[in-house]
This record gives sequence, C-alpha cells and structure tokens, in this order.
Amino acid sequence: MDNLFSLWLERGAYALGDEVRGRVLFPDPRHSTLEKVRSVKLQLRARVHGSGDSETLVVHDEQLHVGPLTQEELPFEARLPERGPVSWQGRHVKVNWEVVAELDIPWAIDPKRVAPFEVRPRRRG
Amino acid sequence: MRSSGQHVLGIVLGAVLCVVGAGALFASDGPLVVGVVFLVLGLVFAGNGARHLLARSAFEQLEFTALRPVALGGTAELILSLIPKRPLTLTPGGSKVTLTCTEKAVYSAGTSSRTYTDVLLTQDQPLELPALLSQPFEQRLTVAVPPHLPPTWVGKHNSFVTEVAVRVDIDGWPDLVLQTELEVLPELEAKSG
Repeated sequence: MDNLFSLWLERGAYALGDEVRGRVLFPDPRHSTLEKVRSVKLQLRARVHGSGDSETLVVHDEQLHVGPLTQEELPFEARLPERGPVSWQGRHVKVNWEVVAELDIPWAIDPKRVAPFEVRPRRRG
Repeated sequence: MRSSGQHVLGIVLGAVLCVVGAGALFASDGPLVVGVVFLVLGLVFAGNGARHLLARSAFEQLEFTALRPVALGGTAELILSLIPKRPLTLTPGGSKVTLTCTEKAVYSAGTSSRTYTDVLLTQDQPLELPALLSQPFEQRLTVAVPPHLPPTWVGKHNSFVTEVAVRVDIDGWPDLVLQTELEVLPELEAKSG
C-alpha cells in the first residue's frame, strides 16, 4: 500500500493565518483497495512534544471524501489560526506542524500520510 | 506581577524544610547529609522570601505592568510605579531591566511530575532612576523584543513565556525585584527581519 496515495502541499512554509492548500494524490485510481475506502479524513495539526508530555492541537479536521475513490486527486484547503504556536525546535519543547490524510478502510489498518510544514509568525502591516 | 503571597509561601516552605532538616540532624539515626541539604534549602527559600518581603516593605504601593501585548521585533512598553513610605537612596547605575524568555515542559508519570525549563534569552538593560526616591514615582519603560523568540503560548503541558523584571538597587536595603509577564504576539514587526 506504499504507493496507494501521497500528500502534496503547495508550499513548505506558511505564516499563522495563512491558507494551507494541497492535494491528496492517488497515482493509480483503479487500485482495488481504493474501491473499499469508506472515507478520506484530513487533519491540520501542531504536535507539541519534547521532554514533557506531548499535546496535539488540531486546528482543522474534516472528512474530505465519503465513499469509494475513483478520482486521481482530492484538493483541500484549510486556514491556520491567527494565534497559536509557531514551529520551534527547542531543547525541551518542539512544535511540529503537519497535515495528516487518512483513508478509512473497513477491516484494514487505515493507511496514513503525513506532510510536515513550517509555521512562522505572520508579518505585521 | 508576582505578589507578596508568593514570597510568604517561600518563607513557609523554607521554614518547613528547615524543620525537616533539623529533625533529620537531631534524630539519632537520621542521615546527616539529608538533614544538612534540607536545612540549607530551607534557609535559602526562607531567606529569599524574607528579602523580597523586606524590600517591598519600604514601599506603600508597587506596580509593574506591561501596557499591551508586543509583536516579535517590536518594543514592549511597561509602566513602573513606586510610592515609597520614606525617602530611599538608590545606588547610581545599580538598577536594571531584564527580559527573559523561557520554554517549559512538564512531564507527568502517575502522581509525580517533573518540569524541564530552558532559558532561551536573558537580556539586561540599565534602568535610569533618580538618586533619591521620596515622591510617588512613575516611569514608562521600553524593552526591545528580539524577532527570533517564540511567541507566548501556553499549552496543557508545554509553554513559551516571556517576562520582564526590574531590579531597583536601594542603598542599605534589599534590592526590590518586580516581575511581570509580557504577551508576545505571533506577529513579526514589519521592520524586523
């Protein structure tokens, strides 16, 4: 299921408040597994981890598609919040932003793709 | 701003540690090292709390607050307001303002927890104050916030916090230290890189 689908983002870095655009790509839309897909879920989130307990901030959670897949791609867009943590790689606290796409397939381990991206403070004025 | 209550808590905690330390020292089968460690820690806590309370006791009113949130690469504006009970001589050039940014992570396992702290920035700047403080005094302070800091964010277990502290050096009296939290917005001032 390695080449079943992939996740593509328009850019690698965004500012808080920006719109994150991308696509979930299915290189072989006639793949037999895609016929079994119940839904495609998409999450935009920040994973805060490091020396302490980790926490996940889900800022966008949607069902991108319902039913078996026949198309080659599913475009998506989601807005980052105006306020929130920016990407950070500290000694004890790390903030990693990512888009996660997951296929819900009955009686199977749901395949998932993660696309990391950087979030910077937005520029004033 | 840090309240007197926190300093009183420091004194109480210090006193408790001293009692535990003394108990361990005087107990016939108590471990000597543990007693000494507790006693020293207790004295440090209690001494620190008492020093802060004593410093505050010279003033009728104290206020140190940030006027508004600040963007990264911007300038924070703060108000320092002091009303002394009696005229106080200040050490020339001894007072300062310190900007500190800290990342903090809390790890919990069962009922115990451990806090990891890393100071990302400590930035001092001199604080110009009159040589004699005899009247109600108010000063607007400005502190430059570097653009590379993480903006303020407080999660359930992790946080980025920026604080500003003023240290007023009073002649023949413990230094007055006032601290306030500064909200750093996740915005970059247009002029900064």
